[in-house]
Amino acid sequence: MNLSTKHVKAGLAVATSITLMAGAAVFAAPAQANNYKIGVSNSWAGNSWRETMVCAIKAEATLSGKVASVTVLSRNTDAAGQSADIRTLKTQGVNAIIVNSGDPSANNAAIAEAVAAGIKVITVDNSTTAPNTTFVANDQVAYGRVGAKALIKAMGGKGNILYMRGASGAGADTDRDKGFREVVAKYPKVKITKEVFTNWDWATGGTLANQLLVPGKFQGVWTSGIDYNVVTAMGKKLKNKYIPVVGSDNNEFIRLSNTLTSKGFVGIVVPNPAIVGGAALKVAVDLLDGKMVPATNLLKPKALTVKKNKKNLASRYVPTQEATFSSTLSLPGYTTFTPAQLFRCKAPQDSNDGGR
Amino acid sequence: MNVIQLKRQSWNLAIILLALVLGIWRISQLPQFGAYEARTFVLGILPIALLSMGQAIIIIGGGINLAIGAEAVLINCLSARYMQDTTFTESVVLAIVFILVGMLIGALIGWIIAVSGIADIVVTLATSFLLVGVAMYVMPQPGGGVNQQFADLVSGKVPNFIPPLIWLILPIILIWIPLYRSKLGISMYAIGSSKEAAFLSGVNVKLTKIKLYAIGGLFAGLSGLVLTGITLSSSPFANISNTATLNSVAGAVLGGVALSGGVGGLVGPALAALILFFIPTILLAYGIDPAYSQIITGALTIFVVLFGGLLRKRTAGKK
Repeated sequence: MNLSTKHVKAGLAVATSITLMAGAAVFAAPAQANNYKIGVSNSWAGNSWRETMVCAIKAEATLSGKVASVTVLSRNTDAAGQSADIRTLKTQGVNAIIVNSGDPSANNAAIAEAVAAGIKVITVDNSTTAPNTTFVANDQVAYGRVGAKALIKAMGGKGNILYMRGASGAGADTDRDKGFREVVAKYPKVKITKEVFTNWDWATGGTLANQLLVPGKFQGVWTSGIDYNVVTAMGKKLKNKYIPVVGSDNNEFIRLSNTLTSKGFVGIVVPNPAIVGGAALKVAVDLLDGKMVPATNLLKPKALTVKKNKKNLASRYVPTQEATFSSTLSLPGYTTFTPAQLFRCKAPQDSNDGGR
Repeated sequence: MNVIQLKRQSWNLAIILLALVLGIWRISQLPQFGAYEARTFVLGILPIALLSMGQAIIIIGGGINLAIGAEAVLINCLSARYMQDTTFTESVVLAIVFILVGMLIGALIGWIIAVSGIADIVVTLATSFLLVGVAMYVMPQPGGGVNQQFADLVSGKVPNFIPPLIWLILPIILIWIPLYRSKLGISMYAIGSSKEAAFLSGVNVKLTKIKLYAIGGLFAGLSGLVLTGITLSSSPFANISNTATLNSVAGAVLGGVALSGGVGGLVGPALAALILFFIPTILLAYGIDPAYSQIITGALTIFVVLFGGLLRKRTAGKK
């Protein structure tokens, strides 16, 4: 009898503690998780790169388990419009705002108001001069540098370069130019014989390539991401005698780099990952968790070629995505989503299963 | 006359009603509404409202200024470049100078149109490219700055929404009402309605045109300065000036100004700017791509032009 009472008591105690623990777990989980509200302000809509950036933010927010909602205000607008969007996000009571700013300083006043209200502001891709913000982006100086090194190597250390830049005055263009020239200056036999601006416009880049490519005139081409139609133009203009091209991680450029290797083409892929948005989200959550994060977080790009990185490039081509899709599918240390989760593009509040 | 007066007022009433409905809709989307949110609204519309008013004056006078956005961008760049690291007094003096520069540019455009006899649309389109080029020269890259006290004078310290509201209303009281009641105001409606009739009645058509473009330039200058005060910087890009120009025309037309000239006022365009601000922000809150708001704005403008034209034809027919 005594024994059994003891057993019952012990059993009760165990049962109670299990129930309590389970209860604590049930209650503790929602109290900790799913309570951050994230706002996103993006100044350029309808652009594949920016759409992927926003999807990466949503997908990573969903997987983090700590974000209740992601509010995206994404539209083509000027500084007055984007400042209004940032102020709207503040009104909606978000804890952190991820900003891809269309202007390096015009949104500073709106950002300062958000910072003063205790909101963490993370600028992504395009830097701003706003104080007390955290910057997450690709290292564009290194982007210019590693591309130049790989290109000169592919050219055999000598020859003329067709230099197809982005947009004059844009921060990324200025930075890439700095890194590029730094390297070219070290090689006296390498010359930039033609410099043009594509304004990151596919039609402009294609037209320029068709006009400028003449057999024997250039030994290499550097592009600021308007890449695959330059390669296509070589088929006709150079009669399939391909010269090395530096491009970005555009889906179609990767495909051409993979398939045209047999015809002697050297495609140098320098990724400019759109999923840097996922990294920005991770930084936002870390900041809200009270962790220390450096003020500037730069991704270090590497130049990839079929010769050295065959597997990497083969796995990057995604047949289901469009030609201009920025094909970097994960950033180790920052993103945790699978490609399927990225393409699904769901924020935590978008579906009953929390978007997973 | 009374019928026309009534019709004009009914137009303003309709605009007020639409702005109110959209405003309440927008406010209902926000978790709270206070001084800060009101300030966001006013700051959002101020530059474009001022530009619409300037455009309205020129359209009422029978013209159209496709360079008005470029004028504002140029003043924005000039002020952000030269008002950086200045004292408050220097900033105010410079602000007055730049408003005068805006007037001068406007007057110059008006003078070219008046003397050459080339259509407004051609002259102003050409000057718009020229002015953006000059702005690019002044400020090759986005940037610049302004005295913080001056910025507070324009946009108000958070969450004070009164200063920007004053800058919205003051030009109506100080410029529009005296203009409306002056001889120039009567000449403006006269040349807008019929250049020939006005000329035969002894109105100096050329001088009136120059003066109207100068006042339009003054509004463009104000708009550019306000933009500097709000954003604390400047951008010399053509796409900004183009969008601003098109919005100023849309604002004027939505605000009850007839594109054929001779009809309208300035209160309508100011309210229309509010409507143009609400449409994309309301859609954005629903997660709808605000590019669709262009469709709504465009459809609304076409409707207004058609409906307004029909209305006026009827009124003219009944007389």
